[in-house]
Amino acid sequence: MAEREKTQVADIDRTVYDMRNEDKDAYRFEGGLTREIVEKLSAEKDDPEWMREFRLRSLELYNQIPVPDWGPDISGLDMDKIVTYVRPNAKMSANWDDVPDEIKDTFVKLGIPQAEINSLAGVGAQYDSELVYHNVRKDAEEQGVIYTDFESAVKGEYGDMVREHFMKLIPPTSHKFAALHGAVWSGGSFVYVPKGVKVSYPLQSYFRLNAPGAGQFEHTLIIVDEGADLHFIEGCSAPKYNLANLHAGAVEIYIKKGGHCRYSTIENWSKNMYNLNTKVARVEEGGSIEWISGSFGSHISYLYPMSDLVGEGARSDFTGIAFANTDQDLDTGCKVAHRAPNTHSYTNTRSISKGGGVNTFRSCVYVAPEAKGSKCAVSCTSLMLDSESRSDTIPAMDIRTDDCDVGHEARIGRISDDTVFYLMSRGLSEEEAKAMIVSGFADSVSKELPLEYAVEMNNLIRLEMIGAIG
Amino acid sequence: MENYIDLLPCITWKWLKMNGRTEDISPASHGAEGINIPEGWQVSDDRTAYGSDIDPRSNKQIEKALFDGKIVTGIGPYMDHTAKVNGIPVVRMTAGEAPLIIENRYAQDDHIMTCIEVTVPDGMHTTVIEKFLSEDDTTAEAAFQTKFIIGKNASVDFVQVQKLGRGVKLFNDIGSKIDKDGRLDQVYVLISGGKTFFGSRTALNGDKSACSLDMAYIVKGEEELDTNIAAFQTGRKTDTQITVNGTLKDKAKKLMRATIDFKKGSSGSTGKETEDVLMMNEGVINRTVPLILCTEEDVEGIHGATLGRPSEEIVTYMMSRGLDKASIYDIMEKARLDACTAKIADEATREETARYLHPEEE
Repeated sequence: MAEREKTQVADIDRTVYDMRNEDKDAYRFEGGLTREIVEKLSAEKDDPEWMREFRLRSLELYNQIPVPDWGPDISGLDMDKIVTYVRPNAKMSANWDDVPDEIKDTFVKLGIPQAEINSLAGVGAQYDSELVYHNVRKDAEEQGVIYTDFESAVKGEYGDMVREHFMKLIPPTSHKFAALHGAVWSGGSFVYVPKGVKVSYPLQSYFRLNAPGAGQFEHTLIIVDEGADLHFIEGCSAPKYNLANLHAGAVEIYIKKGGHCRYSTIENWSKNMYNLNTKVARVEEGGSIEWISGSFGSHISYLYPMSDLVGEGARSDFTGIAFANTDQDLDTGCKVAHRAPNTHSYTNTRSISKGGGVNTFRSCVYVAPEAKGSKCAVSCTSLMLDSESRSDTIPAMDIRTDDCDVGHEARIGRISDDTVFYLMSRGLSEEEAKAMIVSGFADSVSKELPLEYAVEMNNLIRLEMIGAIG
Repeated sequence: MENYIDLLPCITWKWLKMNGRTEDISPASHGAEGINIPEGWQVSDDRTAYGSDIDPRSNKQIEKALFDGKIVTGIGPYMDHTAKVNGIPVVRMTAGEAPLIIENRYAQDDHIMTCIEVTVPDGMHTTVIEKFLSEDDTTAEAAFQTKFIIGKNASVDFVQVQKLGRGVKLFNDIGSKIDKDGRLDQVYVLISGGKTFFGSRTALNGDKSACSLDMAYIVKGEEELDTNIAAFQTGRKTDTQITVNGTLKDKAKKLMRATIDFKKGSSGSTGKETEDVLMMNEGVINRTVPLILCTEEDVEGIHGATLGRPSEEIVTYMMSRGLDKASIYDIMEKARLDACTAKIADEATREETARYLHPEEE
C-alpha cells in the first residue's frame, strides 16, 4: 500500500519579527527581582508614594504565591536572570521623526506607522520597557478621547482616575504573575472614552521587546464610559534569543452602562518568550466586550481573558485562535462570570497543533445565582496535524441558577475525509479542497479582524498544501 | 497516603475546586461473604488486598501505571490503599455466562467495603449487576470497588442500580482494562443517595475495544453527586461513548468530571461524551468539567453539554394538554431514568428498577 502523503503546513515566516537591534545604548537593570530593584524602578519612574507602596506590597505577594502547577511547565523561566527594566535610548514622542532611526525602522518594518496613517485613531509603540511613540488623531482628541502613556496618566491630571481603577480587576493576589506585574510594571497605555463617544477608528498599542533576557510588564487601562464605543488593538512581537524573555503585562477594561469595547490581539512573540499575560474586562448594564485573540508566538503562554458581566444584559463574545508549533506550549482560553440577570456570553475558539506543538483550551464559565435569564455557549474545535503534537480541551462550568441556558461543545480531530470527498464532488481538486478546509478553519477569527490584521494573521498561518492529509 | 480522590486527569485552576477532593473512607467490615457466586463462575483463593503506592495527586504516576497494564480506578489509588490498610479482601472471580448479581442492602450505621475483581475470559459474554439499596432513613458509609479484566472479544453488560437513603455515603469505584475487540457496556441508574462518589476509569488497551456508559440520575434534597469518569484509549480503533442525563432539584449539588484521553497510537479511535442536565429549581449547583485530551492525530473526539431548566416550549405544550407544572417536571425527571432503565437487558432488574422509580404503580 502506498504511504499516505501528509499535508504540509508551513512554519511561520518570522523574518520580519526576528530582526533585532543591539541594545548598546539602552539602560538596563541587573537581572533578578529584589526589593532594591523594585525601589530603584519606582524611583526611575518617579512614582507617587501610593504606587511605590503598591509595588512593594506586590513584591511581597509575589514571593509568597507559589508557581502554578496546573499549566505548562515554566521551570525554564529563571527570574534571577530576567531583567525587569530596560530603557531604550529614546524619549517618548508624538512624532515618528523624533524616534531614533534604529527603533523607528523596526516599527516601520512591522507596519505600524503605515497602519496609523491608514486606519488608526491613535498609536502607542512600546520598545522594551518604555513607550517611544504615542499619538492620537486630532478628531479623536476633539471628541474628548484620552489616549496617553500610562506613566503620564499615573502622575498627571488623570491620576485619581487611574488610582481608582489600577489593578482593581487584576489584584496582585490573583496569581503569582499578577503580583509580579504589580511590582515591576512599566509602560503601557491609558484610554478613556467619554460618554456616548464612538471612536471611528481603532487605537493600537504595539509592544516590541528587543532586549535579550528582558521582561516586559506594560499596563493597559481602558475606561469606556456610558454608551461609548472603542476598538483597541494590541500587537506584540520580539526577536528570538537563546535565553528566556518574559511578558507579564496586564489589561484592565472597564465598560460602563451601554458601552462597547472590542479588544483585538495578534500575539506573535518569539519562541523563547514566556507569555504570562492577564486581561480582565468588567462590563456593566447593557455593555459588551468582544475579545478577538490570535496566539501564534511564544514558547509558553498562559492567556485567559476574563469577562466579568456585572450589569444586567451585559454581553461577552470571545473569538480565539491558537497555532502551536515546535517548542510551543500554548495554554489559552477564557473565563466568563455571569453575575447579573440576562447576561450573555459566546465563546468560539479554534486551535491548530503541529510539529510537536501543544495547545490547551482552558476555560471557565460561572453563572451566579442572581444571573437569571442568562445564556452561555462555548464552542471549541481543535485540529491535530500530526501525532507528535498535543491538543487538550479543559472547559469548566459552574452553574448556580436553574434559570439559564448553558451549552458547550468541543471537537478534536483531523481534516475529515468526507468533507474533502464532498468538495471534490463539487469540482474542486483534492489540493484545493484541503486548502479551503484549513483556511476556513481559521476564518472565524480572521473575519473579525480589520483587513490589515487579517492579512497579517493569514501570513502567520501560511499553509502550503501538498497531497492528502492523514 | 493522602485521602485524595477523583483526581481530574489533567488539572485546572485550583480555585474552581474541581481537580479532586479529600474524603475519608473508613470501613469497619467487608462484604465479601455476601456475594453469591453463580454457576459457572470460578473464585480464586487469592483474596489479597490490592494496596497502592501511587500518589493520588499524580496524574503522571497514574498514567504510567495504565501504560504498564495496571488497573487504576476512577476514584483512585486511595481506594486501593484503604482496602489494604483495613484488610478488605478482594473476591477474584473468573466469569461464566450466568449473570453475577450482587445486592448490597445497607443497614443503619454500616461502614462496609467490598472489592471484587472479574476476569472475563477471551470470547466470553457475561452480565454483572450490582444493586446499592437501603431504607430512605438509613445512615451508613459504603465503598464498593469493581475491577474488570476483559479478554479478547469478551464483553460485559454491567448494570448498577442505586436507591440509597439520604444519610448514605457511597463510594462506587470502577476500574477496567479491555483487550482486543472486548467491550464493557455500563448502565447506571441513580435514583437516590446522600453523597455519591462515582469513579470509573477504563483502559482501552486492545485494538477495537470499546466502552459505553449510560448514566441517569436524580439528585435532590441535600444530596450530592461527585463523579470522575475517564477513558484511556491506547488501542487502535477504540471507541468510548459516555451519555449522562440528569436532574438536579432542591439544594442538590453535582460535579461531573468526564475525560476522554486519546493516547498516541490510538489511531482511528473515537470518543463522544454528552451531558444533559435539567436544573429544576433555584438552589441547585451544577458543575461540569468535560475533558478531551489528545496526542494522536487520527482520532475524533466530541463533547457536548446542555445545562439549564426544562424548555419553556415543552412545558407550555404539556400544560396545554392538561398537565400541571409539577406533574410535567415529575414526568421529565423520571423520563430520563426510564430511558436509561430501558437499556438494562436483564428483565428482572429492569422491572425492579422501574418499581423503584414508579412506586405509585404498584
